[in-house]
Amino acid sequence: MDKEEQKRLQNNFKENYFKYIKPRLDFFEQERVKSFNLFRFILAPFIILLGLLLILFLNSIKSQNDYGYVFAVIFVDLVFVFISYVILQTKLANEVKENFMPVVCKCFENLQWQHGYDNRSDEFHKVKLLDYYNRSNFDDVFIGQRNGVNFQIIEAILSRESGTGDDKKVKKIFQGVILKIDSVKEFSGNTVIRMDSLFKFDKGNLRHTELEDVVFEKKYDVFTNDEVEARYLITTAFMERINNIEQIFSAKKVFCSFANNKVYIGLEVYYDMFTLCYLNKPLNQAEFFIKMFNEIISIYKLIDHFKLTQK
Amino acid sequence: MSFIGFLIFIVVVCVFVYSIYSSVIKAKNKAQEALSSIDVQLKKRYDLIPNILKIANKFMEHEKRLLEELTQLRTQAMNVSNKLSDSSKKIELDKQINNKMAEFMLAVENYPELKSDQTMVQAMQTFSDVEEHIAAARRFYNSAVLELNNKVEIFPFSLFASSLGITKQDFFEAQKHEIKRIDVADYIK
Repeated sequence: MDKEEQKRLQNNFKENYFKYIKPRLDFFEQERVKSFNLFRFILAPFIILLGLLLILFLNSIKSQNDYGYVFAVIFVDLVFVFISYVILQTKLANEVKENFMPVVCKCFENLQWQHGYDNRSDEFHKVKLLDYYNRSNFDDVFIGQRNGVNFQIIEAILSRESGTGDDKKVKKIFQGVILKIDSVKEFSGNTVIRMDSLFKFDKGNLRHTELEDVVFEKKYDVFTNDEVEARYLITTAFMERINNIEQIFSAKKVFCSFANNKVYIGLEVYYDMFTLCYLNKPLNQAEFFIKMFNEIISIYKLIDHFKLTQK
Repeated sequence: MSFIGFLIFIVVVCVFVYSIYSSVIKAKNKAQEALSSIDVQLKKRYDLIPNILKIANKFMEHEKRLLEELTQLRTQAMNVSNKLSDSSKKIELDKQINNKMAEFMLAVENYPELKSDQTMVQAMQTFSDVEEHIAAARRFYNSAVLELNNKVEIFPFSLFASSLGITKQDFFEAQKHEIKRIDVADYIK
């Protein structure tokens, strides 16, 4: 993305913000204040209850009585407060997104937003982008076109639940953004780039292969069922770009899979992207919208950085 | 106890020797597989060349010599076997074909009608894609040959390699004109 295009998009955003977003922010700010007050109303009696329980707990220690039940009540108290916050925050955030996300998307050509993703039973595991998961939570999904090539940006939290009852465990497999883009190069196999997973990755029918870039080989492992195709897709230029990804996008881990004529790039980040509001912060300020706009810009820059729309 | 210890020692030595032997054979087979994969891509290129020359023939009346040389080289290349022992011949012919194709690309510049012909554009784009696959196949071959050559030269693998008649192989090297990748867009505007 060159400076001219970025400037044009920023001007579009500025125009749309002042025309369509700012005039309506006051209404949603009032809704936010109402929700936050409701939360404080729910919180107040629980803080009082918490104080009483702590006094009871201190008395229990002095009189050497059993105080186990006090811990249980404190725990339930805190869980209830937390759940209330999450419910109110989610409800508000969804309302704000439903109203403003389409407006932000209008700044870009051919970009749409939707909440949730049509998850075709562990698609990202089937293409070997990620390890097996059986629980998925898809938040924001952007569908668009860049230089005539279709892409999707999917915000996801994927985890694996195992065991039952007391032995139940939930392990987080991935939290971040997955970029799914139609490939301009035709291929029929499956090639995967993973970070330091030589012994942990369930590679199935894929073989580990080594490529020429020493820096790349230190950080990543490549698995494929077609050695020639792997090198056709992962050129020396591509390896260099993946080595320099931190210049464009800051991610803890990077996953990449070429399968079904699509390129999947998983970027692991441990914060909630594309967030427009928080229950405890004023909404009628531009900072969250600017932050979200810049996050979308960084994804576009990533597509350009990897030259995924060029042959 | 000492007899069991001796047996264990023999088993360990046998396993060690077998693992060296099998790694040499695997390296040889991988190099063979890589050469075959180049063959597959080169065949696609050789199949494309007559189509390109047929289209070019209508326009490039003054380049008969070049077109005939390309046809001859292609025929020679098609007749080389895909054995590892013939890889040097294959590499040499591939270099010559690359040189001639580079000459051909430059000659196309002088024929604007040919450059803009839709069939020719399509053929050249397909050719460009095949060239990328050939480059990828070469990388795979060079990687496999590096592994094989290491086994041929390094003790104790070299003992087995020499007894099995496995020798060092040549790498596919890029030609000077290939260092700048041939891009169809540069020639057909």
